[in-house]
Amino acid sequence: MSMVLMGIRWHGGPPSLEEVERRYALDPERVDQRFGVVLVDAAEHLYSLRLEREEAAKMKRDESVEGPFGDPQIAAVED
Amino acid sequence: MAMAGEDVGFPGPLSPHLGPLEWDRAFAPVPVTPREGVPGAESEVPFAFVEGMTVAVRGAVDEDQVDVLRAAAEEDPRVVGLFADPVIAAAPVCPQDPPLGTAEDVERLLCVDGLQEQGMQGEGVLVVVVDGGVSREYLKGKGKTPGFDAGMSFSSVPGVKPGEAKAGHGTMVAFDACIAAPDCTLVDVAILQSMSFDGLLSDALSAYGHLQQMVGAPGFFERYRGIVVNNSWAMFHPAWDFPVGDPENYSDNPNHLFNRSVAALERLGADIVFAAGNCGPDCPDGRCGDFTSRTIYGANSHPAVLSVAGVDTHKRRVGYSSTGPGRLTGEKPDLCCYTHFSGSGVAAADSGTSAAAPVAAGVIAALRSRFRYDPSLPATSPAALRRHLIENADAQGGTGHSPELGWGVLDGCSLAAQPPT
Repeated sequence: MSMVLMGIRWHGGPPSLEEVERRYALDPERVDQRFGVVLVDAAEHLYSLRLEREEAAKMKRDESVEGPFGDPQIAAVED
Repeated sequence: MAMAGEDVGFPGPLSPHLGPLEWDRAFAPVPVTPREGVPGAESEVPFAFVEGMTVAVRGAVDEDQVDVLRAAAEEDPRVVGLFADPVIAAAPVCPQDPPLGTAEDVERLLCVDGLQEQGMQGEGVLVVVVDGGVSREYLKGKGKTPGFDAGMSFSSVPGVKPGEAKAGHGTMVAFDACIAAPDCTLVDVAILQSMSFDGLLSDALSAYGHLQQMVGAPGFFERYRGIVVNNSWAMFHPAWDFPVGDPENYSDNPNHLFNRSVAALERLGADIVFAAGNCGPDCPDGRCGDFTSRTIYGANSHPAVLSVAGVDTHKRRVGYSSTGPGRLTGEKPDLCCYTHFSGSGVAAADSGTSAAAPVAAGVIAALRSRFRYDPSLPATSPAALRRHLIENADAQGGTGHSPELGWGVLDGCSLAAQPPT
């Protein structure tokens, strides 16, 4: 399945993954539990989660949601 | 031009008779082995000056006069041939070439002794190796004994415990950072798989979120003089990404979550260093495919980072070093630093812009040990330090920014003589 990154704005401190899943009605089976909720920019109250593209498409698009964003491969700059 | 005949007395009686050619009178005639049938071909001493021998002489002609010259040469029986004289240059170092110089040479070139005399050895400064993991034991065996912050370190690579990875790319990076900053404190952030060197950008995003939590905690810069985050990894090929212009794109999109995370970490006070990449036009990494221009992608070209290209220990750009302009910022790389030297021993050469970046990171860590970051003083910000590095770079006779060398070669000697204030 194709995974994407989504940005969410959350005020009042870093949310738990369960809080995010509840707010956006996300299926935990389709959310990367290991990635969890990752801080992107504390000044913007911006966090990220990683989930299946189809699940991300179901997220209600209000001003708190950004994305999806791609998750390209990276590699060491060495032969 | 090769000439033969009785009179090779240079070149006076000939010049008026050879069309538009302007003789290079400073170029002494050079004996050449003549073709068969040409006077002097039968000589037993082919490279001695003998009467009637063939010599090469040099001259210049305007491009639009070449045909006129050819016609004049054909008419002159003393001219046996007219040949081009192309520009030659030393071939740049490529991945398969043996190392050029040693880590000790890099120390000397960076004036590490001078930095240390100024009290700049990395003490009190964190150097974060965002890579495939570091082997502290291996480093110790190579005489590198930096501090280690286990609490800040973490690993997203299965089976890799911070500080205890198998010696590989990440260990090389750590070794190279310790060249200028032997007393730094390493933080091992393992995100790249040790065997294939691959990861996903989300691994880096997770790492940067972790670092932001640490650096943003109250009192961080009272405990540490600075934090330098080295990134010797990149995206190699546009096919790994969404197309430019697609909102999901990373390489050219300052709005991508990771590019915003980089900006946020730098605003918190981290000095962030990225390798420019190994997709240089002369001998690119195989993963670059046909893409060898504008290959400094995404965060490797971010305005808030120091983007580092590679030069060998003779200060010549290595052939695989990616050239600018950068995707997020045009004037990238920022600087060059040393690579392709015999150093860590993890491989024959510490190579790639992978090595150049941490060598530069080590210099930054050395500077920070005397010029600490103070959140209340903008003059100590990462941006201010980058400007200082650029102002003191060895421009190699160039003026302004070049896509190959940036603003020049990182000059530890100049920095030791004029440390930041």
